[in-house]
Amino acid sequence: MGVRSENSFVHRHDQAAAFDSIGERYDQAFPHKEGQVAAGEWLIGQLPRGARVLDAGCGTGVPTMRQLQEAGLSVTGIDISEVMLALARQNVPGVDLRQLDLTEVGPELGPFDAAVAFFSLLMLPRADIPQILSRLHDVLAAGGLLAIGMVEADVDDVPIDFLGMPVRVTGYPRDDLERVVRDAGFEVLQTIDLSYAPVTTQALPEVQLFLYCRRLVSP
Amino acid sequence: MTEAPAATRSTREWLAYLAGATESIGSSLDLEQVAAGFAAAVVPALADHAVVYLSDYLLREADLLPERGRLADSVRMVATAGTIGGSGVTVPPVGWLALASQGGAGPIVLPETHSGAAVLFPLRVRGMLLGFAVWFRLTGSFLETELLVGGQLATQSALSMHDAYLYRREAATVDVLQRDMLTAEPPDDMPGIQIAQRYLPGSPAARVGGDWFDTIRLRGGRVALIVGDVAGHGIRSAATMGRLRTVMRTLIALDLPPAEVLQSLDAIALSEEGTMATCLYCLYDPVTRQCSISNAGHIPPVLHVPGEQPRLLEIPAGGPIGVGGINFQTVDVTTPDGSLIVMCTDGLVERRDRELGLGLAELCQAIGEQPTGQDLEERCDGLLHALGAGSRADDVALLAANLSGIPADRVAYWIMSPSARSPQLARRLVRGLLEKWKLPESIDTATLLVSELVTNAVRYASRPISVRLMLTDSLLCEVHDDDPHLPVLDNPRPTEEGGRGILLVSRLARRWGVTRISTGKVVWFEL
Repeated sequence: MGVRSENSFVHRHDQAAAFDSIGERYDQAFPHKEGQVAAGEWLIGQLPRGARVLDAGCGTGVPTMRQLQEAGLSVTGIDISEVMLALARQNVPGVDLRQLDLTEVGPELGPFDAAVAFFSLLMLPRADIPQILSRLHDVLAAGGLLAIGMVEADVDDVPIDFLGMPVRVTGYPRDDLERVVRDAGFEVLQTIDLSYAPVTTQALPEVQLFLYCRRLVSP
Repeated sequence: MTEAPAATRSTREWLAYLAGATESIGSSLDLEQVAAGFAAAVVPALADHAVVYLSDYLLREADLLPERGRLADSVRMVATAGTIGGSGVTVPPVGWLALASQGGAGPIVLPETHSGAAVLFPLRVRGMLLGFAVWFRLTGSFLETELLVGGQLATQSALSMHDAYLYRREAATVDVLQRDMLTAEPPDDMPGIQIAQRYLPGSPAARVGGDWFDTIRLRGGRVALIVGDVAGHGIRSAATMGRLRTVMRTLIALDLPPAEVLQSLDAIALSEEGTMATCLYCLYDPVTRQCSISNAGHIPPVLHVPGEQPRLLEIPAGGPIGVGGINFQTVDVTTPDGSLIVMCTDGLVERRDRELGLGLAELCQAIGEQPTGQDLEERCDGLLHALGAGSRADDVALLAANLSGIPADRVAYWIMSPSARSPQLARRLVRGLLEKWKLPESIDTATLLVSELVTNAVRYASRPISVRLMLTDSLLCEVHDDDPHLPVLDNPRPTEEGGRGILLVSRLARRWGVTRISTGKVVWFEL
């Protein structure tokens, strides 16, 4: 294990519990995921059939794991929430699922040709994010692709009310996020920003950032 | 009417006649009908022809009574019965009015007429002349008994006419009051929503008053829609409606959630004895495309989502305002773009001869049968027509809204933990966004003002602050922080470093404001 913030264990446990409670309300609140679907399309366009993809923080499995699996890619999904994994199992039958935290990603999982992390880094303190990105770097094959979805914000592990549950979230301004990703050994090929309004009064509208990246040989 | 010759009637017959005539005169609360009843009662029993003239003042609905004695400056014929010499004279000879004006309440035998007899009865109430009646007889003259009976009928008629006048005037007053308190038109040019509203007073029996609707434009493009109904009718209900409406506007301006608005309204109504009303409050947010709805004993709204059947929204009905002890709830409803929401009072759907549920089903059906894309004003007229609103006894308030939303790419929202770099970050984000929105002319002012507001927020906030921009017919910028103290518009001393942010906003923005909300405050401005 790398360096982790002090209360990390409790923190991750609480985040998992929150998402266990949110369950399928997540997809009801965020029904349209144009930016995320577009990022999936980008990967599909870049990868040969059968390529291995890691979905880091796969949630309910839709739309991304379903989209990638239907395109003939071999997908492994990890998530800390048992309830989310159960939903993913229903939504995307036959997909490889593991109950694992992003902080537990290790070389034994890989190697992968690509990885996605859509709104999962959001749930980690900034102190943990560089080492998570390093872990993703290490689990990717040379030249492997990474797609990240984040919320543009300037907050580090602040508590907010999300779909009626207390969760802690982190965000970066665009330039800062690009720098953190570069520092972890990736080339940022493209950044897309997108305004997004959830279909609920229990979550805030946001500006979403999608980073299309490629693994460099060394950081 | 028994037709014994007038001269030979017994006392008993006179009394029976008077009873019948009084009843027919007093059976109406309509001026013209009272006059017609009077004329019809005397022909042919007492006269061959009778004409009733009434003051123009009296006939004009909403006017107040003039000074005593000046009431009948001009009169107009309102009723006639029997036939002699063709139709009656619309404008009476000047001499008649003069005679009626100078005399007391008693009958005045007119000297002229080429044959027969004529007598004039002034119509007076407490010395005030309302008009007069003239009887004609082709042959012979009027007996003293007949004049006494006629005088009695004239007094009775005048009282009934005065009652009818007062009733008409009260109804007109209530109507004026009611209409004055309802906004004539909803605020126009609201982004993401279009509204039409109708108010129909009750039947000619003038059961006016107490129904209301309201539309309030709130910060951030949100719109409050309200329909309510005060128990009862008449001037008291109209006044109560005005009071509740004002209280509700005030509560809504505080940006409380719908259920809390109703809770507070209920608490205030409880302190004013006898105030009872139902009310439906719908808060539409065109950014999230949600309606937050709370109900106080009112009939539910109808939602028509494109491609679906119109349906009644199941909002817990709670109970009426003014009862107390009710736990009002807020229900969030997703309203996809193109949805229609219809809110009304029970006057539109309720009939004595059937259940309320059938009326609501009829409303849903009528909405479903309207062509999609129909003009909203036409829709409202169509619904009133389809549900026969014109023939109802109760008054009707109807509010319909087309919900079209504000596109997500016209909105941006960021949160940031307060820090020394927040103002600079906010400037960078706003600049980048306005370049994307192609608003170069707004960049300098918007970045300056947002930066000032974020600087203020950083000074006092302990939790993350947020910045939101929205582009509709104007550019809206909001800065939210968790400090509940409202900034003061003050002229800073020349040596003071801070305190200029709000001053700048007030000088440079088209509109601006501060709203205290449950999580702190929002300072906003529009360019």
